[in-house]
Amino acid sequence: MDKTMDDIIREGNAYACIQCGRCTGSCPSGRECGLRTRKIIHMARVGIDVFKTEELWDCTTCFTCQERCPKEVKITDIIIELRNLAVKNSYYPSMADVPKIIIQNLYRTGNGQPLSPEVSKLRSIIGLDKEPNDIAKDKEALADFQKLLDGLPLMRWGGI
Amino acid sequence: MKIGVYVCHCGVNISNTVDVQKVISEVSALPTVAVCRDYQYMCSDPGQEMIAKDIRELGLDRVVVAACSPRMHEPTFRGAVEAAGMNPYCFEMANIREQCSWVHEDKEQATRKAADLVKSSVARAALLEPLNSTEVPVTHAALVIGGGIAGIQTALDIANSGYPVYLVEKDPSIGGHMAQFDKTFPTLDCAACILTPKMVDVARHPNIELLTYSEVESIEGSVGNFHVRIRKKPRYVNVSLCTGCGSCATACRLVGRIPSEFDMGLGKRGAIYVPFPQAVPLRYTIDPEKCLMLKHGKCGTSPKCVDACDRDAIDFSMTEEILEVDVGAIVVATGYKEFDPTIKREYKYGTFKNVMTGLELERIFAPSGPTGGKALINGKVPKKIVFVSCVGSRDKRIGNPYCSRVCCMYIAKQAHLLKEKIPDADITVMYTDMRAFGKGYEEFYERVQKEGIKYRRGNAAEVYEEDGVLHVRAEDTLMGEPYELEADLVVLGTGLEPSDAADAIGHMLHLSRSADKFFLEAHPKLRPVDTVIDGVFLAGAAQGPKDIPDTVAQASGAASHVVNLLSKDVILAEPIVAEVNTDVCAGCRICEILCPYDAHAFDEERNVMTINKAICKGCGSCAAACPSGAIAMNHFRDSQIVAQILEVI
Amino acid sequence: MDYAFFPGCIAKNVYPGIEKATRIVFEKMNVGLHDYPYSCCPPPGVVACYDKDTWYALGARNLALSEPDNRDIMTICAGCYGTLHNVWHELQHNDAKRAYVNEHLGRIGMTYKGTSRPIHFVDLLDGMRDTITQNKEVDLDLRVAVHYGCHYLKPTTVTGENSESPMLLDEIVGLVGCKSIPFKDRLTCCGAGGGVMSGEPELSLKIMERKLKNIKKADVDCIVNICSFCHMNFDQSQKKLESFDIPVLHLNQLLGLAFGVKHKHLGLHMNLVSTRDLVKKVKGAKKGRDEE
Repeated sequence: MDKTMDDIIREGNAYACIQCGRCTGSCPSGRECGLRTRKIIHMARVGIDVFKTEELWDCTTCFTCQERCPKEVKITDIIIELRNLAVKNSYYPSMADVPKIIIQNLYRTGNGQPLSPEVSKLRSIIGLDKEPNDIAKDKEALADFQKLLDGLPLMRWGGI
Repeated sequence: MKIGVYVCHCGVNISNTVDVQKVISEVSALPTVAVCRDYQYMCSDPGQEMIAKDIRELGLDRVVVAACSPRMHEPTFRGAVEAAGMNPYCFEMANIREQCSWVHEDKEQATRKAADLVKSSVARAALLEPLNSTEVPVTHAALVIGGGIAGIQTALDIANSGYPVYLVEKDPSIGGHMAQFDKTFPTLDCAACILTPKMVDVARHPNIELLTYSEVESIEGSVGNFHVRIRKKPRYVNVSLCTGCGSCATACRLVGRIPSEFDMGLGKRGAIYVPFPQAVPLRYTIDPEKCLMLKHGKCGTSPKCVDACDRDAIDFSMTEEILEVDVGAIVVATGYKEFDPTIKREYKYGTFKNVMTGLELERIFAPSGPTGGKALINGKVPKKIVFVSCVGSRDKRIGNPYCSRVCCMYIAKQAHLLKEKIPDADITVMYTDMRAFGKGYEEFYERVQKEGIKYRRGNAAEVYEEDGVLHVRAEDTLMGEPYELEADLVVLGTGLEPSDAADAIGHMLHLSRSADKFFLEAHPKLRPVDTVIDGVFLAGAAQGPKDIPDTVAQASGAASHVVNLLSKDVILAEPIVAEVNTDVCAGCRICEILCPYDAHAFDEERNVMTINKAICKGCGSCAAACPSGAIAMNHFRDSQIVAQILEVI
Repeated sequence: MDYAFFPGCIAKNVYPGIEKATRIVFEKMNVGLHDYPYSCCPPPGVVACYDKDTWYALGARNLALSEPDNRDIMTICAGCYGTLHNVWHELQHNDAKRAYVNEHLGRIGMTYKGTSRPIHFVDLLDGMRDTITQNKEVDLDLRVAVHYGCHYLKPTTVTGENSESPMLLDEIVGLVGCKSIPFKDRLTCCGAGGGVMSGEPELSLKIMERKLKNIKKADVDCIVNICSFCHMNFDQSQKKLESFDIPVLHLNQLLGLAFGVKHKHLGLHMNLVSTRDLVKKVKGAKKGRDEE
């Protein structure tokens, strides 16, 4: 189900944008960095390969911009789709390295944030099972999960 | 049977997609078709003359024109064939533009479809029956609903042409929103100075019966003959005795305790009041929701207003009256209401009292307003002011996708007035796009910028308070930088929505609404003051957001259409109506429930249904639903429709 | 009442006190919580931003696990809720996407039906106000800064919440005697989401620092959150920034205190920012009550 730039713009209703800037004005991240949400949408709809810009990765996906957009542009959804497109085109920037580790953990243990020996000890101190009763413990479920992931695109694009 | 068929090229609109010659050769082969021709523009004079000549010379008794939608040109061609001596209802139109050439790309298939459409129209035409219009007398009076500037102008124009007008206004005074304004853009005319003389003219005009504090209760009938019931709410003050002296209002126990609607709740009134000093009529009204006497049957030892009134004008026993009037035409001028920004929660209207709407600020400016015209916001002179545009406009999220057309300019005007009153004020306008499209508007926009008003492109994202100070957060989109401004006054440029009265009136008159919820005009370009209901016209913001000049222009337009109608003694009623075959009717009354126009009346004695031809709009709902097939729709008889369908399947 | 319990990887593997507090509090309120072999949600920030289809498929696997038992799924983290609820919502009306996830789940012998709904625990608590009051042993009398978590509130087209002036969390902390103190920008993001905390820790920290400054001005006893991921960010960032020491409590830990549970059983001593003064204050309130 690979989406083109045009699919993303249309599905996200980016053509309706009136560049009012309520999105940027609402953005908690843009106050601290170069992310200009309005500009991302503008670039996308005039045909610039906005998925190549690093600012795309500054968004915390808090959805405030999408919530306040008077034209119902699905701004955050568009940003997420543009990131997908960036990954597919190998444009994810260096800052995406740590997330890559999270994906590796996910594959290995079923959890992006795996259990460490220290926390395992803490768990037993407060009366919880040393290991959570989850996928990491259930080897059969984990094997199935890995099989599932093997056939999903993340493994292709995530580049493990 | 001699049918003439005429295929239009519509310039290239049709002929680019449809092979006209091929259609002609197919249609010519039909046995009933006597002649088949094509022309570049059938609606032009030579086109019409071509048809007329054939009628005269070949003795055609049916004509089919294959062209555009009948909505525009059916009346044109009906007129043309009638002038040439043929019954206009023996004319039929095939729509091969909207329903064919404009929506298809494949020329071969489009041509086949066009030929089918024309052939099916020919089949129908063969079965059409001559119909004759009936004459209906016209009542020479008009009803105008709404007493704002639109209703006032319409009423005056009609009355000046010599026809009686009933002007109905739900509030105690006419004047509408314009009476609430201080100055008008871009000329900065004092609104009251230009409006009050018109209000007084209305009150004094011998041809205008002014019905304030009244509401239209029901409307029956059709063009030329509407029967209207008007409910006059009790004022509890005898208007023929009241002189408007105001002694009662000063005496009222609740004086200064009830939020004044006219002052947007910023000023206070008593239970007996006039909305504003220049009210017309200048007669007092008692608010039944608030008056102690009316609510609790007791006001101290005796009602103070009664004691204060020298003329004994106060009458607590007053009840509502129903007035019944007959009119030939109706103008809907129900206006607008201001968008309630409470639902735009990010702007914190209703949370912080220094966040106000445009209309509220108008009252602050007004000399008769709650501050006596002084620029005081909650007792203080604001020094840092931010205007926010497009609040409740261009906003799909809250269901108002349209531009309200007046906000850019009223913001400019209000910014100017604030600057005039507070020269050291720091005023910023946050805007989406600047729309200064009217006469003198762009010049005014330049003027206010010269006066030091800062325009920053990019609309406000949110308002918040910190340590008692408001802050507005936005992006300056021209700089591409988010920023925050401190403000001691935030003015929301609230947009326009149809007034609440539009629902009831629209329902009574069966008026359609456009997607923006305002009343739908008959044609967006060529019939902007008409509705699809004959005899009902629109004026002002009821039809869509409008500034004062546009409102007044449309009001005069509506008045001229009314006068045009009222100047006739009779009008011709469309004969395309439903008819009941009383021999077949079983009296089940299903049709009666379905009729959207209340045209059906049951004859109890004969146990059959009857249809009032003057009211029937020919929608066909009853004919389609009649279980015994007793109702026939003229011009759309089953046989005619079936023949048309059979030809295309 | 029985629910499938989705603790999420932070509550399981980083702040186990949250998992423990949840189990205790809901047991006290007679809500049965059942474990399933869940993977992590998977995270909206990382997985959805890399490949949305994978996110749907893995989310659907989690959602499908309790379908045979007919159990809805209770989440205690806005991030998990964001993933599971958005996936569920999309699959409710997107047949193509549903076919896609089922094609993949079929490879491991599973099917997604959509019969188990994800629910955020705060919405569950909304309907249990009387039970909360009945279980309350201590009026906490704390000034708290509440933090909702973006994905619990937004997008409102999916959540149906009021994202500009929500009151639910404020009301719930009020039930146990706490006062929610307003502060500037109380609804803005903590800065962790969208992969920013892992991908751009400095930016994430800047967003958090601004937030913490606003909370500090409000002079509160603690921050109360309904999202384990925000919880982790609030606690860890204060340690990194060194200039803040506002205790961070997940709502279930706060409820645990109000229900008279010992702070160590709630794992409060495992936070990086000390909760000692807070616990002392609560003990004082408890003692006061016992003496009455």
